Amino acid sequence: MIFTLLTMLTTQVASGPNHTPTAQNFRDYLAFIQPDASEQRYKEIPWRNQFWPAVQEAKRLGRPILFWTMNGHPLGCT
Amino acid sequence: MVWSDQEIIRLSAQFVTVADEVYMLYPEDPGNLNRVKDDPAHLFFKKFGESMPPGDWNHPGTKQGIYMMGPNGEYLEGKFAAASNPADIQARLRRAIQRWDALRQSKGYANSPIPAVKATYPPDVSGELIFRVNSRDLPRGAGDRSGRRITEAERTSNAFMDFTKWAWNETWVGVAKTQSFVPDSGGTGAVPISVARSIARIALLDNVRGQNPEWRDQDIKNIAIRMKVVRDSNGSQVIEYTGSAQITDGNKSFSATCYGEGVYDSKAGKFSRLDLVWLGMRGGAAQFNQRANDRGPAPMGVTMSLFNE
Repeated sequence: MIFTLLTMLTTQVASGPNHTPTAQNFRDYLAFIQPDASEQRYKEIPWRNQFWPAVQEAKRLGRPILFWTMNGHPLGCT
Repeated sequence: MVWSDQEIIRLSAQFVTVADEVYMLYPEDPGNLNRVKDDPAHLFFKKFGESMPPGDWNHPGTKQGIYMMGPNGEYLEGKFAAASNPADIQARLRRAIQRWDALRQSKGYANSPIPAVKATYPPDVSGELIFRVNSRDLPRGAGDRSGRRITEAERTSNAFMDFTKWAWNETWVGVAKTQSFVPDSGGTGAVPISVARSIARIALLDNVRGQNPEWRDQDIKNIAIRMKVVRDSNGSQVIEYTGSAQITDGNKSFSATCYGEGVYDSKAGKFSRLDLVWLGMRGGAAQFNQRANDRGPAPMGVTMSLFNE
């Protein structure tokens, strides 16, 4: 709780609406914008990034396949 | 939501896990479908899909979803458009594992250990510099919580449908040459305009809440990224980047300023880190980026960080 309050007091991310990156604040903005560890838990799963090579690997290993698929690559949707 | 569930992460360890784009694997339009009709990957996925229970496979229509199959395409479990309910996916994974246990014994599959791999970028991204690009809304004024994180209570409830409150996105952009981000011998310079325009086209867009196609080249009205060596210690250089961009297609827009820093080993010719932050105002809405009721102008941030494998 105290750490959160201190973080809120010391961050240089503006309350808005105007935001301008500088040498003094840009790492605070990096931390604000980039996902933290809890938001990136999906990366704890060892995702291969191509379906057909993963199928070939599964055949070699004699293992099942878990396939997550979207329109746009799930590991880098635009 | 689904893939951050600890039990799902644990159950997924039984599988070769793969994430990939589906539209070109099983296109929905006749032209592209005809193009892949003899492709072994397409045929494999098609055969699997047609073995699924009615209601879990969607044809005609989107094939986005989560699917579990044996190494020869045997049906284990799965459902189209199924990435929002952790309890449902947990149950499907458990059923898939039960079916797998029976299948591997009947077919004599080896069930060998699965090598670990690190999460990486999509296969169509390439270059000497690979940047991880993240986007998020920024606070709009005192007391506004735009850009906040999801809470644990939201993560485990059905509040995922309110994802716009905590949305963020991740994409990737490749730059062919490291030297594009290194000043000339005088210690100053500009990122080549062709590289800057490519970055603008691919990365400086509003995909915080969902899909937004790349800009057209003519939408990039202005972009410049200047660079300057600000410290040099026996070949280890700190390079400062500043810049701006104005982009609009008449409907959507993004105007931003940039600051960044890189640490470059001039002897090895490599960056150990390189981060840029773009902050500015976005406007308009794309078909699938959930901005129809939030057209702005409103502040948004985009970061680019060098991915070192």
